[in-house]
Amino acid sequence: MVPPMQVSPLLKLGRYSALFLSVAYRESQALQLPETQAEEERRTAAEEKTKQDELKRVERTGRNPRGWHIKVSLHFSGAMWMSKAFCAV
Amino acid sequence: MTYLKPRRAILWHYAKVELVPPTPAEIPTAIQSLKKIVSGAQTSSFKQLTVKEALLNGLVATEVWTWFHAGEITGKRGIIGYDA
Repeated sequence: MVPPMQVSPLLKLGRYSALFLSVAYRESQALQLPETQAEEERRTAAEEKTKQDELKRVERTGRNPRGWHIKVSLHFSGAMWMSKAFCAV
Repeated sequence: MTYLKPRRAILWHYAKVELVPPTPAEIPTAIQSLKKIVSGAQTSSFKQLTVKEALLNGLVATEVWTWFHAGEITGKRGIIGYDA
């Protein structure tokens, strides 16, 4: 059997540093990529799903949709008599 | 198993010496060799190399470059392009 060859330290350093630097470089690049077709479809599907859930919730409970601001006239809300009763404004 | 055992032993026997990463003690030697190469390139003493030596150096450089590409494939997690 041929005895194993002694590899020069420069080659060892070069090989392993090339290996680890390339892995680190490509992994950092992979995080920066724009989204692929599949990811975009998944994202739009998730957004559609939240919208559908919202509509169903409104239908089910009949309540006001979350986050919408309902304007109520002051006269009908009784705010007028409250302000008259509690402060002499 | 009985087929692989001796072959694995042979592989390990060679890999222990040839594929080992550099120990921290070897790094100064490596840097000196690099400086020698750089100075050789500056003084044009590389023209004294025989063709055979030059070809061997090219082959070794190609091997180091192959290690770089193998690392790239590992980092990309796909052989061509990112993420299969």
